[in-house]
Amino acid sequence: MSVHEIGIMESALDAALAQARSRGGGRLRRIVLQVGNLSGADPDSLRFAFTALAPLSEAAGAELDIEPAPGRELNLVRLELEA
Amino acid sequence: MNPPDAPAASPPAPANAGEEALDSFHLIIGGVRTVETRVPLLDNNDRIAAANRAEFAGRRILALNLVSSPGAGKTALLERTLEDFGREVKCGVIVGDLETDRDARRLQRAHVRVAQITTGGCCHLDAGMVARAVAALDLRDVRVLFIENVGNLVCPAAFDLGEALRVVLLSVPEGEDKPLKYPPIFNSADIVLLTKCDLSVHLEFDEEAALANIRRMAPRAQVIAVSARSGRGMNEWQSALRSALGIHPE
Repeated sequence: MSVHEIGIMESALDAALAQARSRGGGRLRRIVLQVGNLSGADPDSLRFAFTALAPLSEAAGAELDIEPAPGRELNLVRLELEA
Repeated sequence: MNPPDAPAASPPAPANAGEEALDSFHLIIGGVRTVETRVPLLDNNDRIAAANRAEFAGRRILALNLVSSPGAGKTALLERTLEDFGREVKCGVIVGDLETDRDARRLQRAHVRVAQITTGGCCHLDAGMVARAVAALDLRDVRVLFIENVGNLVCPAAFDLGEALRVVLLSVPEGEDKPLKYPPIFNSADIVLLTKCDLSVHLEFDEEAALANIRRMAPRAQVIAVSARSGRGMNEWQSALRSALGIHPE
């Protein structure tokens, strides 16, 4: 378990909520991240950070999916929003 | 699925008691919009890193990001480097630690400009911390800026600081197989230094195996075995710095 995933997850939640607002709003149901095997971010640590941070944010109740990717990719790639 | 700019749909009609299950089924299929996007999660850091890189390039400064586990010998390497190379080429140092300015004091010399960043518990330097340290440091005439990262083989891998070269140190006491266990940091290296090589003989360390592991995980890196204590490899390391600066021996 490393620590910097907390900061990365804060960025992910901020980005997801900003995207949700700019795409017409609606409650976030799912956030999908792409995490490269050489990104330096550990998926389990990201999941742990999500369980700690999401309930305190407007993303409360949303789920997190992580899609493995090659290289250094580390991106928010998809959202599911309630209409 | 609604187009992204569609007006907010009116809420679905309230479910009849008997049709609740059916209605929630409709909600899942019809009531969810999927938005495809691509937002780099380290966007903020990467923007500041790009600004740092531009500033270093504008000032013709070679910036190096030194990363390793704690105690691998980053500060000892710099002490030795500043005594030799640092008297020939103007150097600056930004040194990161969770607490204390002990390393900055170790590196303090009349001919070197040193700034300490204490991260207050943060496990890596980020580009913003470096930008603030650079703003506080007198970089006039400085040609080489060493950025000594927080000792950690995991977290610093993800954070570009704006460096030209990333230097990863692996020390002999850590064992031959460390590169295999920490792929992101070794993969990102431009130079890998195998440090504390004076200990190899005492620890029955297999240098050939270690070098093979480094080359496997850091295929594009220049690899140099060094000892700040005995001086082994220090000429080759300083030659690498000179050639990165475009200084070639006549």
